[in-house]
Amino acid sequence: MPVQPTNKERNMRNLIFFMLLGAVALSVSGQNDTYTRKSVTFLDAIILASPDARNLSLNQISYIGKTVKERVQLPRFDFNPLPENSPLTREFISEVNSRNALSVDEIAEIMNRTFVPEIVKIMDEYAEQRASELVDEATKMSFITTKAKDMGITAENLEQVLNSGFIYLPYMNGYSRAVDSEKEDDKTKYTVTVSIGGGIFWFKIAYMDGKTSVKPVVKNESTSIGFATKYDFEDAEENAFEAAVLNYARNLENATKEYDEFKLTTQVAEVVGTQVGFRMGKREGLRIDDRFIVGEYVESSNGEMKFKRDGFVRIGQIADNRENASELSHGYGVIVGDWAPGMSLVEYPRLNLDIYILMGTLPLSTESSLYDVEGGGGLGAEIAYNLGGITQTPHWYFDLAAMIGGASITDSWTGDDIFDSVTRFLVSGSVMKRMQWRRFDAYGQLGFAHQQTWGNWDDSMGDTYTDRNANNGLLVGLGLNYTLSIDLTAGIRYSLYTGESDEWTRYNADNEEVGSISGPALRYSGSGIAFQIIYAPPSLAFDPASTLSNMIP
Amino acid sequence: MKHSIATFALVFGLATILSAQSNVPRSKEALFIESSGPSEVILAATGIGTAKTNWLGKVDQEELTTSAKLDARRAAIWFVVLGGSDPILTTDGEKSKFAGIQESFFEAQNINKYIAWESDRFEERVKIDDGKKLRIKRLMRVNTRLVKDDLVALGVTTAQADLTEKMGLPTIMVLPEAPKGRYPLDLLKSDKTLKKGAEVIESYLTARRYDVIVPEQQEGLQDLVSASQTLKDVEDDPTYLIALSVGADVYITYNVTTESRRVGSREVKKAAVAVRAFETTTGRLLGTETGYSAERPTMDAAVIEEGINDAIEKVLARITAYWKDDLARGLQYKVIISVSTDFSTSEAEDIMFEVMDVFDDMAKTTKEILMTDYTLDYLIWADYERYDRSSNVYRDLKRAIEKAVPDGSLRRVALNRKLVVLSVEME
Repeated sequence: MPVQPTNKERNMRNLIFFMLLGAVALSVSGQNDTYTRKSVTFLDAIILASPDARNLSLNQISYIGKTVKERVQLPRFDFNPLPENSPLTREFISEVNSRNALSVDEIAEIMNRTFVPEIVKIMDEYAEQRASELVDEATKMSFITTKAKDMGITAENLEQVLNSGFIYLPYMNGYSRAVDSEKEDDKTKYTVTVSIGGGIFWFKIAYMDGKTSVKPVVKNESTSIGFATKYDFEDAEENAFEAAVLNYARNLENATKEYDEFKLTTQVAEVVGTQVGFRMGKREGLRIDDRFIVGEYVESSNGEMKFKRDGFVRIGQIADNRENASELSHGYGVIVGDWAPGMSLVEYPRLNLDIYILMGTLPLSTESSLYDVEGGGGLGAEIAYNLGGITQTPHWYFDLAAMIGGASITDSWTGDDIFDSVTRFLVSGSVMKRMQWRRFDAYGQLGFAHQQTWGNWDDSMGDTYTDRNANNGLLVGLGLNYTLSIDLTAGIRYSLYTGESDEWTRYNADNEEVGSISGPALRYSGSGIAFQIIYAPPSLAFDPASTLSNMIP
Repeated sequence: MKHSIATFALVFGLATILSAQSNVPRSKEALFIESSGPSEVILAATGIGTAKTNWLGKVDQEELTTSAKLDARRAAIWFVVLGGSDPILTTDGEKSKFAGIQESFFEAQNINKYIAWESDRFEERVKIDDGKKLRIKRLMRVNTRLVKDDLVALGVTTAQADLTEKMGLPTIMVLPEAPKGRYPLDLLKSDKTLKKGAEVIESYLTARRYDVIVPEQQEGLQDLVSASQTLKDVEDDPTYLIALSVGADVYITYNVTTESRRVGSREVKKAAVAVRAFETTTGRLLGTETGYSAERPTMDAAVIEEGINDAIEKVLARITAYWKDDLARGLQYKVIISVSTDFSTSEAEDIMFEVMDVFDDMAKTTKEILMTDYTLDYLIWADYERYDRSSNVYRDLKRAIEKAVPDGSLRRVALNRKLVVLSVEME
């Protein structure tokens, strides 16, 4: 019996139409240095804006919708959920489906005619409560609140609330899947690569004297790739797809934060040394180590006003302002300027991770008198996932690193190379703690490292073989960094590794194990020094952590 | 050598004096936001901060901010004392006295005590002059009563308490503006909005220790009004008549307009309240101001009171200024004397000339409002030591006229603390 789609799925399926992905006007933020909460409405629908995207299954569309919603529903927003299967939403979908091609402005117009009045009604229901948060300090001290015991809300506050409505509509404009398979021990191993592209359209609701209008204001786009290698094809496909979607949704989350109207902004309330206190916290969804630009407005001699950046802070301690609105969160200065209370803090949204590019050495030696073994230079990359959400203290990371380099293994008597070429490879997982002092930070790292050395050689028949030696050991690292800019840091690291191995395995050109051989006992213990560049990216093409876990068949 | 030391001391002293910063605010800019109560105002004050540069040519930010905050406080106090449309100090004499003490008055320790509350947010914060100066704007609530009390204690201005001892604060009556043909007291009874307006204004006045006359509480009011109405020069203005009748020095009229519209599902209201103050004896307009409330989803009473708060402070400041001027001239009475037509016009004229001479003796200043064949309408500013009551005016006039006109006698028609209505009858 065929499975009947649910209403929700029907909605999803229905909303398959082409759209002319036009440019969207960006609004320019003014001098206002205090973030006001926005009311956001989402639609349980995704626009499939390209023929590729129409190949997505209902489950996949549903998964994208759910994941994007989880990421984009930021604590800085208030939400106006439309009732599920609302007739008005259905009307919107039906009207959209009846048209062959639509521009963004046309979609906005249909929204305004169909369900926007319903959203305004929902916003109106909460308007008083939300408007009370906009009452300024002067009003709180004035007659209207102190004597008349009124909330102090003005019509302007209410209109501000009713004009703070946004609707987001996700769309997909790219989807592709590549499958590779290989036989391994009578089993087929599938490697699936899924690539998706799409984004979110943000529409702003304007309210004036009982009338509403909707206009598109910003478009956030992202592309993402997911990989998975599994024996089960469906598992591989599902894992690759989910990895791509998770990374895609995380990119969109950050892109959403980058929209000027959604950026968290506030004033510096206090400055103590290199620490600043400010009024914002859990209610806005601050994260430990989030970056905020510190700056101030400067008036030139011709009266022109400009925002001048003066360093940045990262969040060190987050106040629970849901309970106590006057409690201050604190940021620690990294690039520290001439700061004073009243200066502005503007969010600088970045993914909650850092990418390291490494250039350095990897240790390698032997105690055997038959061989001379020497480690060489290497290049690598590391991704440091911020653990601030767990530790609630700054600069704790979980790191995944990979490094590749060369080495030399020679006969100690003749000085001849044993292999035609020798390659060193390292992957590590570690926990890192950085300690910041202004632009400088020192860190310690502890973890595990898996290291391999392999050498290629050709026999007299011309067949190529690879001899591989592997080791699992500990990793202890120390480092010193200097912050160059808000998203770029440079430094050096000193790493100590442990372990040695004399187990060599030989593989033929088809990567089939031929057997164990005897070779030099390699010592991986020792120290390596690397120069590193650390970058805080706004988005990633793929997520290394999920890629790594998906590589386990 | 001695000469060199003296020169050095002089130069050093001059340099010290010149380099010392004045305590007078640099910005002198503030914006009146609201009168949050009878003795407090909320202002958005602008401060300009300066600071010394260090050897690197950098300005100390903390010093700059502290300096700007202090300047904003000084600007707020300056606004209350000398700025705006209704400052505490109005006369040249007061301003001149204040100039002598302003450096010590604007000292940080002194002005801080007048600031009842200060926002910790900056409404504006802008670096100017290539970053060497900082302009800020902050909200603050200033205790105006404390400022006034201190200015009195410093001898800059005369205390209202002193005035009370000498001749009393002006007696004020509050009534709504009545359209032609309507009686203001009836409006007060029938219109709750207007009643609320009167209550708010009266509450303001009593909090400031003014004598407030509530006309509907006056016994025999109608009789007094009728008596005043019999005078032929009195205009047909019921409010004016009532004020004259009850002896108010000043009367305040007001009108209230409320408007509403819908924002979402809520009705928001806005009130506009026009408040006008008049000198009772002449009907001269002393001050008029319209106050507006914000548009709020609240009850009428709240927006009306907010609108009145916005207007009344300024009007009261003008009443006080008027009263100070008037005090210098003496105690003001409106004297209306009608001479009986039993006298010939020539006799009546002689009587009136006699009365004028008496006025010149008893008053520092006089003003003739009307003189007809048989009626004389005069404003006199009598010496308050001798004529602290209208009966004293009546007594001296009676004595002088009855001496000068043996066949005439002076009779009292109506007498209250402001109005003296008399008639000269033939015996």
